[in-house]
Amino acid sequence: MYKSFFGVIAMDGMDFDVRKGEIHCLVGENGCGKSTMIKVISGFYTYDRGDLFINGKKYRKITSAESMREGIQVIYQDFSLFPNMTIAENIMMYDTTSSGRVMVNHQKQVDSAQQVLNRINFDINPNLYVYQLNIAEMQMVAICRAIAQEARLIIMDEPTSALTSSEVNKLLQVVKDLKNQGVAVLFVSHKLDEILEISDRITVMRNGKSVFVSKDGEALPSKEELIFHMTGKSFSDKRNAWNINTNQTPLLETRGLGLQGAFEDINLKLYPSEILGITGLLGCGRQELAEALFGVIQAQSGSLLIYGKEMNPFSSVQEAVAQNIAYVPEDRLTKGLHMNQSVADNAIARIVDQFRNRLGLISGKKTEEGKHKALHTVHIRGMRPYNPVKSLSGGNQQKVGLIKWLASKPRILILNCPTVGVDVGAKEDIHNIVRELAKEGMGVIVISDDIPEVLNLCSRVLVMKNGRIAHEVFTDDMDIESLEAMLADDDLKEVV
Amino acid sequence: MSVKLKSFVKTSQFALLVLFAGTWIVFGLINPSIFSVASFFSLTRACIVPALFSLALMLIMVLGSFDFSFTMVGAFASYCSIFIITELGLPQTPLIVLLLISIAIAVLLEIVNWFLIDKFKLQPFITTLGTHSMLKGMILAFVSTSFIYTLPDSLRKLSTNYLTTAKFADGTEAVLHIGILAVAIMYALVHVLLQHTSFGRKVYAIGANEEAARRVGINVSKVRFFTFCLAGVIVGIGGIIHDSLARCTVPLPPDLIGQELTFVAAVILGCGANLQARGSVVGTFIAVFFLRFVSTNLIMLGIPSYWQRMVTGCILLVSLLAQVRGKRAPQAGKE
Repeated sequence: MYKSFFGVIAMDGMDFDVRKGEIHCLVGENGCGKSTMIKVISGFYTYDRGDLFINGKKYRKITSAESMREGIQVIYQDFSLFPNMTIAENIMMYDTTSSGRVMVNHQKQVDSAQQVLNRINFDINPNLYVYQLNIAEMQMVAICRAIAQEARLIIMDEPTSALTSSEVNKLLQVVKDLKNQGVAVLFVSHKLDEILEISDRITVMRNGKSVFVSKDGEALPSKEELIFHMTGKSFSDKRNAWNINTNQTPLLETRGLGLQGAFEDINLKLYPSEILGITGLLGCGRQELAEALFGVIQAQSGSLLIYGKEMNPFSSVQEAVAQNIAYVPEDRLTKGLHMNQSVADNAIARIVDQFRNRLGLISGKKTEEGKHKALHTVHIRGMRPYNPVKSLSGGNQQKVGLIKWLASKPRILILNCPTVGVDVGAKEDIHNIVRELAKEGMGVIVISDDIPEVLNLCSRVLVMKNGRIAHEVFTDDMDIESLEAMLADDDLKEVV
Repeated sequence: MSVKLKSFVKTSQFALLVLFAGTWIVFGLINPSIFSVASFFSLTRACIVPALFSLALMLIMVLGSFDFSFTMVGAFASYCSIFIITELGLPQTPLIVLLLISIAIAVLLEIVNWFLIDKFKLQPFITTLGTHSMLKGMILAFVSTSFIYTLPDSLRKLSTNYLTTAKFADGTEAVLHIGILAVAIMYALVHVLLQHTSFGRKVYAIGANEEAARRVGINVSKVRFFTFCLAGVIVGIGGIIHDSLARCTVPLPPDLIGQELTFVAAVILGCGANLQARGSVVGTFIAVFFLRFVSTNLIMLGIPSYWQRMVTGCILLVSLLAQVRGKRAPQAGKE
């Protein structure tokens, strides 16, 4: 009495099965074939060789309608909701489109939707429009829609990447509730801690193959083992000692920097060759601070010292750029890159002015040379310079974002959440690039809520709380748990 | 009922209605004859054609698509059908036959739009700009350039057919034209279709997120096909009614061709459009009357016609700004 898939997928002979009512996690680096597999199961792609069994029935070719009929539902990263409709209409959408009834009974729709909402204890008015909801609520609506369709297997594609930690906990609770109701969940994620917390079984994919499947009843593998299976290499969890000469002039210093409602009294120093971490919970002001240091928003009080020279807080990005400061924003999709342009064009977007010839026009030859040089600063596997950036995976896009700014040879680099949505391998690459840059004398500020990342990369970390710097930590004698405790700690301790 | 009334009060359609009422009172204080029944009747007559054409456009905009050719399609269909009847020398042709010919031509032309947009994934605005221009040339080159002043009997009868009359204070008579019935019926049908049938919900779903609609198993192509056809039906009828009210038919009627943006304005104004395909039948209806009311009365106050265009543009922009503000507020709270 269990549901099984035994699919051999076109890519490279992937064996995989999900059983009834289990939480199964699928992990792997970007581009290892996870999404392809999801698309095969949900009927968007066909496969070339091998077999696919659903509920014991063999499918040579499955359409998305058949897949849904077998109770398979996918929660896509974009949720596929209809913002112009109410929660109830969204949840009951399948019912509306496939019941064959001509008329829609709005009251019945609301009642049925309410029942589904109750099943996962989600307390919200079903008459609200979806565009009024936040990301976490939209995700719950998407899950409800899957449940309303009598889903027996719900596939969640990186469901936690856009959520805050308390929202993640709520989601994991819902996933467990679903399991108790006999619904299997296939959970695809990069975040190993969540996976270890929630899964019954884990499958690791690499290059289109399953390289590791945890066995029944056995303890789950450790995080290090998982990373090893995912990448084929092992990474050490190393710390960096703080060996910065404080007699040097700091590259960047702030004195009592403040902005109403965002942050206040920020005093920080960034020395050459230092990687300074700034962390804190969502809404602690780290985002605003990063933007103020780059002139996206202007701080209202305090002053900046750049290379020892005192100046007013930046009022525009141009002022910051003039001081050789570079900023790689957290949202590369909308803020960082020109997605439809080629990789090469993106790489030189910052420095295109340098390629002017004597007439002031852009010289084609100089531009080509510049592209060539820029793309050689960072290695991107399998990249074609003239393909659009959006054809790259998340990790590689982030590398292009780095290249773009490195081309302008900044002295101060501010990275905002540099590895969100990036897999373990690419993350390590990015960290290595940053370390190299710091070695060459650049000052780097890494703003991140990824505690292991901050500990791994930085030698000194500032913890922000309610818009203030609450702690200054040296990472060589710090472990993940105590830093996390420091973040979660509610009472504001004395300012370091 | 009271719950429904309460939720209606919160909508942007209600805000528009309040704005309309306010404007009515202001204009009425300047020119008291605006408060008369006769004035209302003449406004209604002026709104019949714009209301039908705006309705067709609204359907397509709810679908998340766009049609710039709809006025040309309507004009083309009605001119051709009357031209055929006249050439054949059949002035006794009943109204229903005329309507059917016109609808058939309009639906066919909208299917061409659908085909280009759906099958070749062309950008709707540019595609229909192309068909608009093509039809404009075709009607003059292949059909005729002549104005037809002698309409078929049924249309002449229709033009003088009215429900009731009222008199202005100075004794001039205004009629409530029967065409308003066509408007009422079409609006009621489309409202029920969009709000209460599964077809209508699919139209909204596609308008919001085509990919997501496909993922829930909606046959996007099919729904789009029927929506374009329905728009064809509406402009086919609208074209005939337009010619009947104008008491002649011309290849390129200046009150349709070139007025597309006024219809777009009405749809957007009525949508509560945060540009996310939330088109509303009721809102479009109010907006058509509102825009027409403003422009008619600016004429009566002796304000030059170029000012009317500017006022229409301002109303549209201000309402868009108001909606953007209203939409942003809840989002800011979420951050």
